[in-house]
Parts: sequence; C-alpha cells; structure tokens
Amino acid sequence: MSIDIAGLAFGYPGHPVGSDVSLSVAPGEVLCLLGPNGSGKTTLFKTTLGLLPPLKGRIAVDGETTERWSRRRTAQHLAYVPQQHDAYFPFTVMEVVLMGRGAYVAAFATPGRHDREVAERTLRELHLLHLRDQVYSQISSGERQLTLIARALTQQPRVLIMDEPTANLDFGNQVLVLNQILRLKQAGITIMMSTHDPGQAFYCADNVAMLRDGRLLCWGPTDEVLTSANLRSVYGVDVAVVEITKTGEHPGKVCVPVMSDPRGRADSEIQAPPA
Amino acid sequence: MKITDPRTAATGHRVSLAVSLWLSLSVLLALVLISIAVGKYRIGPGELVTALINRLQGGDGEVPTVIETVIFQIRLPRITAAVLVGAALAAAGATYQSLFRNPLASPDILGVSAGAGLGAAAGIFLSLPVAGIQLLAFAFGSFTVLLVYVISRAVRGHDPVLVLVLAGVVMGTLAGSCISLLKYLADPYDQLPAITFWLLGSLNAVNPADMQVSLLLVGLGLVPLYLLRWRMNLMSLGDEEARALGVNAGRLRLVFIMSATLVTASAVSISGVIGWVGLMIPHIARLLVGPDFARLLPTSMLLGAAYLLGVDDLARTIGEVEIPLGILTAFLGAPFFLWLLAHSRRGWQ
Repeated sequence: MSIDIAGLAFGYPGHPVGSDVSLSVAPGEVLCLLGPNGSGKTTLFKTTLGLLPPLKGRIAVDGETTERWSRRRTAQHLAYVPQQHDAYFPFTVMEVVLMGRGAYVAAFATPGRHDREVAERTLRELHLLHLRDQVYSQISSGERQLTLIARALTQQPRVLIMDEPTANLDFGNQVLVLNQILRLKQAGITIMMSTHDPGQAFYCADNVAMLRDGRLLCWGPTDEVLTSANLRSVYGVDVAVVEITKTGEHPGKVCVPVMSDPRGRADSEIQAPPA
Repeated sequence: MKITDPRTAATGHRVSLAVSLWLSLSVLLALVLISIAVGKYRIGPGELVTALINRLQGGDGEVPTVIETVIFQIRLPRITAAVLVGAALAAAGATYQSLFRNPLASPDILGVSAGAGLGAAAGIFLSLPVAGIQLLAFAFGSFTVLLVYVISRAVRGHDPVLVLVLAGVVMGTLAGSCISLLKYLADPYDQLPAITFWLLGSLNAVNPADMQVSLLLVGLGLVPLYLLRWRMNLMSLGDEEARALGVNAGRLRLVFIMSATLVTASAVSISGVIGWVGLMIPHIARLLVGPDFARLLPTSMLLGAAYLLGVDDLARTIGEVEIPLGILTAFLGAPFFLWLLAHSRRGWQ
C-alpha cells in the first residue's frame, strides 16, 4: 500500500506541531524518519494513523483520503507499534497480542478460534510462542517490543508505523528488531519508522526523511539524504558517516556523532569522509 | 536436565475462570445459608431446612409464623440487597479501574456517590417518604455523572480521561459541600441523624418492593458491561492505543460510564454510601484471575456479593446495636489495602 502525504499541517487544536510536510511511501518500502526530540515525529505518525485530524493538507492510502475512514477500517490497513511502555495491568503476552484483533472482532464478541490462530501464528513467526502465558510487564524490553510488533501484525495490516522501535534496546535486541523489519518488508508490508540512530537507516530503509521543528528538511533515497551535512543541519552537531567493512560481506555505513570535548582537548579518532 | 525459567511461574498463581467462579459461588451460597441462620433471632439448621422445604412445597403452616417472618420478610430481602449491592459496587469498581487504568478508581470516582448522598439528604430534608428519598438519590447520582461528562467534553485539548476524573473529583467535592449545608440546616433531632445514618450506609431498611426495581436497574446496567467485556481490555490500554487498534474509544467510554453509573446509582440508592467494596474487591479478583475483563467482571461480582454479605452479617451480629455497614467496610478495607500496597510490587499486580 502506498501512502501519500500532501501539504500536511499537523498537531493539536490550537497547538500546531508541524506544517508543509509532503512525502510519499511506495508499497513495500521502508521509510525512516529522523529528527531530534520534539521535532514532531510521533505527532506526524499519529496524524498518519488518523489518531489526530490533519490541520491542513491530506493523507491518502492507495490514493484514497483516509480522513473519513472508520477506526475499524483504518486499523485493518494501518497498524501502529507505539513507543514501548509499561503495561498498566498484568496482561499475558497472548492477551496483548490478541488485542490486535480489535478491528476484526464484532462489537459484542470475544476473539474466536480464527483470531487465536492468527495471534498464535504471529507469535510463532516472531519466535515468541514460548512467552505466550508470560505476563507482558515481566518479560525483557526486547521481548516487549517484539510483542508490540506481534500485536500490530495480528491486525494483518498493509502498513506498519513504528515509533522508535529500537529505543531502550541493547545491540542484540536492536538487530533482532531491525531484521524483523527487513523480513516484513520482504513480505510486502509498507513501513514507516522513526529512530534516533541514523545508521539504522543504512541497514533497512529505502528512503529517509528528516524532520526538524515540524518541517521536512529533506526526503529521498537513503544514500543521497543521509549525509554529514544533512545530519548536521538536523541535529545541530557534527555527525560522521563512516563506511565499515565486515569480513566476507559488502560494506555497510554507520553514523557517529563527532564529539568535541568542551574543555578543548582533541576528541574522536574517527575521520569523517569528505562530504 | 530440564531448566526451569523462573518467569514461567509468572501466571502460575492465577486460577482458571471456572475454578474461581465455582469457588466464589460456593462461598456465596454458604454465606447465604449462614446469613439466614444468624442474627438476634437464631434459626437452627433443622428449622431452616424445614422452613425452606415448606416454602418450596407451597407452605401449609407447619412452620411457626415467627420463623417464616424472620426468614422471608426480614432476612432474605436483606440478603438479596447485600448480594445485589456488593455485586453492583464490585462490577462498577472493576469497570472504572480498567477504564481509567487506575487501580485506585472506585465506583464513586465520577461523583455518583456524592451526588446520590446529596439527593438522599435533600429527600430527608424535605421529609419525603423512603421511596422518594431513593428516587432522589438515584436521580442526583446519575445527574452528577452526567454533569461531569458534559464538563469533560467541554474542556478540549487535554487527556479526556484525566479531565473526566478531575471533573469527577471537583463535582464530588461540590456535592459534599452541599450535603454539609443541608446537614447544617437540617432539624438536629430528627433529620440530621437520618442524613448521617444514610451516608454511613446500611441495609437494615430495605424492603422487597425496592429490591425489584433495583434488581432490574442493576441488571440493565450489567448487560452492556458483559457484552463489551473484551473491548474493555482494549480500553485499558488508553485512548490512543485503543483507537489505533480499531476501537471507537470515545463512544465506548460513554457506554461504560453510563452502565457503571446506572449500576452504582441503583445500588447506592437502596444501601446508602458503602465505600471500599468497589475499590478492593476488583483487586482481589485481578489477583485471582488476571486483568482480562471477561474474567474479571464475573469474578468481581461474585466476590463482591459474598464480601458484602459477610460484612453485613458482622454488622448485625457483633454488637448490641447494629454497626453501620460503611464503617465496617472501611475498617476492613483500609488495612487490607495497606497490606496489598506493601506486598505487591506495583500496587496492582
């Protein structure tokens, strides 16, 4: 499914967060949204999901404006993986994942056999089946993130919107989640994600968009957009884009902030390649 | 060697719904039988069985009239009331705790009890008959929640749940001040004790006729709660997530609030204000069967019924004079809650 955002102003009534955002995501594409804290990434996502009405402009999915879609219809097409949070009540992993069937279960019904099968299949695909009866709040944060992804996938969406899916995860779990994103892309799901590690975009994104103060700074193919100059203007610090070579694999790129010690001493060993 | 993951014990303490329902149902039935027997006029097991069998066979007068009267005119209506009010308060408490994601929510969080108290105080102040007092209590209780809801809709741009709860606190406090004003103005020898006693909560004035209406209203409120039991789980994730999962959160919340208000207002109008039941019973139920509302609701109702029946038995037997129910539930509820706070990791797990 494709997403087209045109001339979008977004935010809360009386409190606009961003404006003039136009971008589109092709079917099966991964778009990585970068931007400093408070730049409006989450608000943009919420608007795309129809959780907030657009203040101006329009959002279309496969060419159809979504503004008047019912909650049920939206949730059957677009799924949200929110930033990881603590559960308020001790639901089990299976109970949490089953909630992804909210858009399919009839108003007065409870999840049926088919819903359970979908949930179970998703848990198996994400290698989480052994956790099904664990309490969600008591599993590790990596497992929690995967559970939220599983919940979104039981919505059987065509578009997945992930808000910082790797926040608070250690390296191992970050890679686990990123690889999952690549698998989902392979399965044809369109993905919009945000992250604070621009290097992740080299690993899994087709396109990158950068947001600063609610405005789109740049948007385009990862290799073209993810440059030291752009990263500097979005984060306000020097960022080195470094090529690394792993033995036996083709080279990858990472981004590292180049820190300068305020006490005036020389700092990073890493040399930024000429921009 | 088999390695056991310490986390597999995580849900190990939970019992299945069937077990918890049968267990609480048997406790409730046992308590009903005990409640018929105990009191100022003691009824032995033999007499109880004879009287019940006699009644079931149509009643031919072999049982002394005193026993007949005590069982069927005094105790059974009161037992029904205790069961009904206990179940109603626990159901409403479970509803609000899940809906507001707040383990400290109680049935009166949106001001229904304070409003009902004001209605009853006004009824007593105007020297209305009992039925009139109950009607006013019900009307004022529901009206207060309606006002709270309207206010919360008018205040935009904030978290809707937060605004609702705060508006509930404000309206509840306002109703409380109005009650104080009425108490100040009331006749100190006749009306003031009546208002005070009503606010403490008691079941000693129930009569079978009130029960029928209240039963109907409580039943009416429970139907949507039961039908929407799975949706409640989605609501307990918070507005945004519920909506992202395909739920019309605003409309659903209104239905839940209306149902819980109907249930609470009908209960409070026959029993007066009885605190703590709706707060602590859903906690115990959650410990037993977990947070899934489909299991939490029936378990809470049975436990609430059994608990209030047991406490009411205490209220009418431990002292020479009857102790107001609301005082006893607080005496039992407060220490329990402190214990819960100390022994659970985050207060509600």
